[in-house]
Amino acid sequence: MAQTGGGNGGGRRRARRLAVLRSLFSRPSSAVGACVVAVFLLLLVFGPWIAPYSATQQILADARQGPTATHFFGTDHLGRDVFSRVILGTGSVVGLAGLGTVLAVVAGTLVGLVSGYRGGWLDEVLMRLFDSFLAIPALLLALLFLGALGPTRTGVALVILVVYMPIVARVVRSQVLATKSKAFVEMARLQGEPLGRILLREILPSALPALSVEAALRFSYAIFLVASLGFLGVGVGPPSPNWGLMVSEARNYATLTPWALFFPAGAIAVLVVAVNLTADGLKQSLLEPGRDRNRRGPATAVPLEPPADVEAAEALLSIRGLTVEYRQGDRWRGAVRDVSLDVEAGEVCAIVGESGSGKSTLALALLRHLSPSGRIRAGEAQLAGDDVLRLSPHALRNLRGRRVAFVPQDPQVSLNPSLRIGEQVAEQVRVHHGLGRRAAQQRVLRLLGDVDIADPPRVTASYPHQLSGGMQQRVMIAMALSGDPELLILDEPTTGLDVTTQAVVLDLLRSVIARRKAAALYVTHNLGVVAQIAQRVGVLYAGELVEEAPVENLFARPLHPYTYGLMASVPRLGELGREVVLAAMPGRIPALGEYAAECVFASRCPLAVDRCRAGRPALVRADENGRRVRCVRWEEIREQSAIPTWSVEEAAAEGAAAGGEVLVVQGLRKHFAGRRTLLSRGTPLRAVDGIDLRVEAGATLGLVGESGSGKSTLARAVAGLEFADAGELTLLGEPLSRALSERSRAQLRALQMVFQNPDEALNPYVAVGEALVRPLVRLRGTERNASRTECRRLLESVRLPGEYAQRRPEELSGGERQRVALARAFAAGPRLVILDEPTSSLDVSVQASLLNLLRALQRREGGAYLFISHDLAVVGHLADAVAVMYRGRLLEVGPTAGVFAPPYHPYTEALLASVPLADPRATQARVRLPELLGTEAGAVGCPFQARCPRKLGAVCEREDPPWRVTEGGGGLLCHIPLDELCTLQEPVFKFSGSRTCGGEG
Amino acid sequence: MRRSMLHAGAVLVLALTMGSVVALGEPTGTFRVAIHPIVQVDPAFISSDAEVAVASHVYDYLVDVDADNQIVPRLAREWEVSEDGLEYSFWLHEGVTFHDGSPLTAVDVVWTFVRLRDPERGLPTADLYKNIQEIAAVGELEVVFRLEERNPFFLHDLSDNHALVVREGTEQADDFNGTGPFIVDYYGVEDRVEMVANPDYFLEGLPQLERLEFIFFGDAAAAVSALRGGQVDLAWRMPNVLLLGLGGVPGIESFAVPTNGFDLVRLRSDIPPGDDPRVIEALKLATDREEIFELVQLGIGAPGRDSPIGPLYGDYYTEESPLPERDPQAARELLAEAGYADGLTLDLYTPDTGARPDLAVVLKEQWAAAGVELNVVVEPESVYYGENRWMDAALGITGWGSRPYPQFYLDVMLTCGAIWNESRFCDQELDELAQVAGTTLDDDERARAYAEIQRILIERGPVIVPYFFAQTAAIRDGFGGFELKAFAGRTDFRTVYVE
Repeated sequence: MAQTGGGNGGGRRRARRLAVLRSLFSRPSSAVGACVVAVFLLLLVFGPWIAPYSATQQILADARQGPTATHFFGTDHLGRDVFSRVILGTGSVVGLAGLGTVLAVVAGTLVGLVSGYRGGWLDEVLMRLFDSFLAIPALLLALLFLGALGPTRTGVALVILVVYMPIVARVVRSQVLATKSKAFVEMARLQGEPLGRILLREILPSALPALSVEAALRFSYAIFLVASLGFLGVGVGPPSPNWGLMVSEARNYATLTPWALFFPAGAIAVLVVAVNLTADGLKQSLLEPGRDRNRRGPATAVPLEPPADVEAAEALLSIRGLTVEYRQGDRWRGAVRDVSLDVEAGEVCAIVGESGSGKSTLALALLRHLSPSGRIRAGEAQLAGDDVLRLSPHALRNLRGRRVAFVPQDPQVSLNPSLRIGEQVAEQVRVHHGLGRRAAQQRVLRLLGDVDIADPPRVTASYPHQLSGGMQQRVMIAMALSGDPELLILDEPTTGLDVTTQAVVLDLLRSVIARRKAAALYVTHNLGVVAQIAQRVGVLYAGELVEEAPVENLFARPLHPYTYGLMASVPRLGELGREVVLAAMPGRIPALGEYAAECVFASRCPLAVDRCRAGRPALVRADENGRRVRCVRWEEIREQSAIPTWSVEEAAAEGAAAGGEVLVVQGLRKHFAGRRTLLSRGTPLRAVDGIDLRVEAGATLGLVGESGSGKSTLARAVAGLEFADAGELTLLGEPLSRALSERSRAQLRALQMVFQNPDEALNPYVAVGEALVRPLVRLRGTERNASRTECRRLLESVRLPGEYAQRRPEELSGGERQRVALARAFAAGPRLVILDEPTSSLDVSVQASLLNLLRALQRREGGAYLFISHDLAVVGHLADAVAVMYRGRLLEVGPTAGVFAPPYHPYTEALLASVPLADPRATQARVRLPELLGTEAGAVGCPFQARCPRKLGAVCEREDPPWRVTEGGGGLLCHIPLDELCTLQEPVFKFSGSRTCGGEG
Repeated sequence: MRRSMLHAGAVLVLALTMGSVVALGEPTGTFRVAIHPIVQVDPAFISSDAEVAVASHVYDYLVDVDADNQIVPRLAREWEVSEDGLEYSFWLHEGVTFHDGSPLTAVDVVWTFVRLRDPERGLPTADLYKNIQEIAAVGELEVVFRLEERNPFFLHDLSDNHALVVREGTEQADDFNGTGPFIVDYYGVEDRVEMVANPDYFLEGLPQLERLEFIFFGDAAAAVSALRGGQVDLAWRMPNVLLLGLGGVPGIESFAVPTNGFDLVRLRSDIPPGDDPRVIEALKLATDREEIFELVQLGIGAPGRDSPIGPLYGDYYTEESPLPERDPQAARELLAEAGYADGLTLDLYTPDTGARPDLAVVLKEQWAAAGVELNVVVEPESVYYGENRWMDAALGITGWGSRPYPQFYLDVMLTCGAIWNESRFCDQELDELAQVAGTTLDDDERARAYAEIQRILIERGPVIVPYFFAQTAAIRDGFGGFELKAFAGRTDFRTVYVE
């Protein structure tokens, strides 16, 4: 990947093509294939000049001659020069197959694009039609159509079109389906790009690699088809020098003129094999580019070096000098370097770090489960006296699962979807304990009970997909516990869970680890989780342990500037208000192999001095509690004589647009059809079920809710990406159609959206500048000439250098991509931007800078935000008002401070109580919601009643709760009167300026 | 008038003069012939060469045809034709017996032909013998045929492939009970037919072979391989290219004789451009028949002279009318006169069988020199005939099989309004000549009429006959007395002997 800032888009594209060519020619097979294809293509063009005779000229005197100097390939039974006929045959075979393939590819691409993008009945009909086409052998189909079209060149070309178009269309369609819901495509839709441009410019490029491979493959099939038709005598008739026809003619004279048979047959074979090799090479170059790197076999065994610093330890797990490397090209790069760590029995040691810090590599190394390109270079890891890193394969098998257990991030990947839970857990139990079937079953039930599963028999009989994410993760924990492990390794075990479920699982882990007296290594990026579960914390940065401390000490006073920055970049639930500025560390974590012989954090550190660059600082002991830090200025930081701060660019407040409503949503409804079965149409999913909402001009409305609450559907319905079933939308005082296509250009301009996944935020095939210029030209009517400067201004407004306009998305980090996406959304000068979890895939330091940016942009541009997030701290940090959504309904709305203070809706109360506070000393009310098996049917009654801890009784099930208006213009949906809620509820946590009911405080 | 009268011993004499070493001795040796698998064994139903070859050695004809297409005696010792040409009398050999021992009498011959001409049985011969008014046995050994109308080719008709004599009362001839030179002693369906010499055969000294075996082969290439490998002694009906491949193989001698089968290039003369005689003449001038014969038939068979009367017919065939020299320039000028100065583009339809596509390709190249651009349309044979293309297309190539006598072609293909007149040729002079040839009992007169017809067709017939197909065979050394006939199935193995 080119990292150079200069150059232009065209040059880059050329470079990419060159890279594909280079890759193609790096493999001998595809290089030979491509060369042979090239030779045939040259013959196709220059054949008429090369061939010494015409294809039909009959030389009676030379008839039936073997290869000679005048006739290189001999002559056939009619005295025609075989060499000339084979050469001129490229026109009849390669040319015709090429023409047909081009037709098939063009038509198939168009059909695939439209069918995949439009979907619905058109797609259904076309795909069924193509399915039935594909069920018929190509040759049979070809014969059928050739009969109708006639054995002419046009006929054969059309037959190739007809036979291969469906296959191409299917390939393109599947690519379209994978691409059309990506953020950059939806953004293009929101910016009113015409259909053709969306298809050809936004979607097609992503399909091109697969399409090129398919086209090459179809070409080889087409060659074979043309030759076969010739051989069968149904293609273009004699005297055409079609190789297949030549074979067919020469076949009868095989004994007399074998050369006339051999050469055209050889030409077919050589060309088909060559095209296939080329297609295969293309496939590897375009679709599996990673394979090259890992092609060189598994990592070679290298004698494991002893740890550098040898220090006796009595801990249960004692890691010394662990160094893990990954292969990049021909070099080995340290991903984890010289990490030493102790974990006591019954202790949870958290490893925190951002992506790229090496925390997962560390965990996998302890399991001896690295990918083939990784190897453990040095160190030891003593687990109760045994060095895990040096165990024999047999001992290792015994170790895994029994002495060391692993809980992964995503239980769905680890559970076998086709086996009942009971069978999967029982298998683990049998492996570890050698128990019989019945005894194992007993133990499974006990294990499931241990992880607080309410109804173990029912869960054992379930398949994974029938369980919620939280329940699945409990099962994973039960399986991990099945071998009575001494060490538990947990890799972000709650990251994929909703906040309420996360709280429950964290409770469970805490109690299980304490009860079992196991040591636990808990890998996470979430400081709140760390504060809630760990006793000790190791902070990992760029593969190095930069600080290690007991959890209270660390949170009370970080000693390493990086830890400092990490803490300051996280919005805290307590800190409301728009005045708090998050620390946004500039730069990014160095990539593998970018480490210099200096402090790894020096380049981003505000305290960095020359000493830091003199060499890598040692990990020094900071106090008697075993606190260690790797910074030359840690003492100054402890004394507060040096405080790491990051300057924040404050935008001058231009005075937010005063008052008024940007968006009014009334009675918005969007239901999705349920799973249809033979007998029923299924219960519809009420994703958005009658929502009223208003967004004030220049303000931010935060929309929170768990996954499945319908918040994204609400956002998409407002944006017009989903066509809502009912409801009224008003944008800037004017009615806004529910259908995107019926919105005016001004409305498109006024309403923009930014999506979650930074990898999909930008079209990988469009340079940043081009992506920004489109909305400028299209929606703002900026002149093309002026758009260049405007584009630079946009980039600068999102704190990116202007020359980024020439970059391609692949050259940008995730945070940078989100900034460009933001710039693209702001290009049109929107009055309302919908932000759908724009920071949740980003690291906290990147998130901090993006949140700061969002606030700065709002101050300067005055636009309103509808900000969707599952993270209440982030919402609390950014939003002026908050709406809490549950199962398609709004349960509570109000100014942020009001929503975060009593009276709470019981659901809001539970949410707030579930957030892991990034402060180990904070006090927080404990409210836990039960997980539900199956779905609630909730057409009547309170949507929350099934999980509500404050449920009154039957009234909650029977009657719709009333909307109770709260102070400050908010309201909540509950049967319990507000004053009663006030007496029931204490503030979930305390913070400065927190209020109790009645407004005092 | 006495047409032919040969003594019973004539064949024997012939055999002796051919230098047979094993003259009057006992039959010796085994001769193995590779043939296609047979399906029909009843003479009334046989059709392929293989079936005819098997049946004609188990049964005998009343009269036979020799390699020169002349009628020769077989069961009939001699015969007589009445002055008006309507009554034919045949005298049978004495002492002829069927393989089951029963004697052959005139009644058996009558039964044979009555069976063949019975319209109720729906045999293909019913039409052929429609002209017979009455068949009568006169005493033990004389049979008389009375005809409705004169038929100068009646003896040829009597020697039709199917006209093998069976015993009186035979409904289904599936038990190989003939009078022929060999007796079937093993018949393995889909495998082979093995025969032994008939010790009571009515011709003294025949057959000369002790055993005759027909071994079935699915295709010619396999048969040729078997011949090369020594598993069979004779293979026939192979494509020219295979025959050519056997040239120079030691121990194997190959034979090719022209048949009267041919490919007919015909232009419809009732629609443009064939309705202009200059176009027909031009196309003939543009054609080099010798080159076609060399390229398409590999020089095996016989070159054609634009008429269906080929060298097989002996006296009826003549080369007295010269074929014009190939002259593409003259052809071009003729076409220009006819209004095709800018060239002429034509679709040439041809079935995909045999060498016809090759013929089309060579014609395309030859006619291109005269400014005629052919668009060759190769169609499956089933389409070419099934969808009547052969009758409808302006320009086409049609294959015609070999017939015992030439009158057939004139009557169905070339006379005005004939049922298969593909070219729609309608020429009063030719029609009159054909009428004479078809009715006169005077052989010389007929030969003269045929010669005139050949001249007319060369001059103005909208047809080109570039070649006659060859009949091919190859035999291993060590056998004598083999003479290949144009219709391979009628080849006579009675005279074959071990050297």
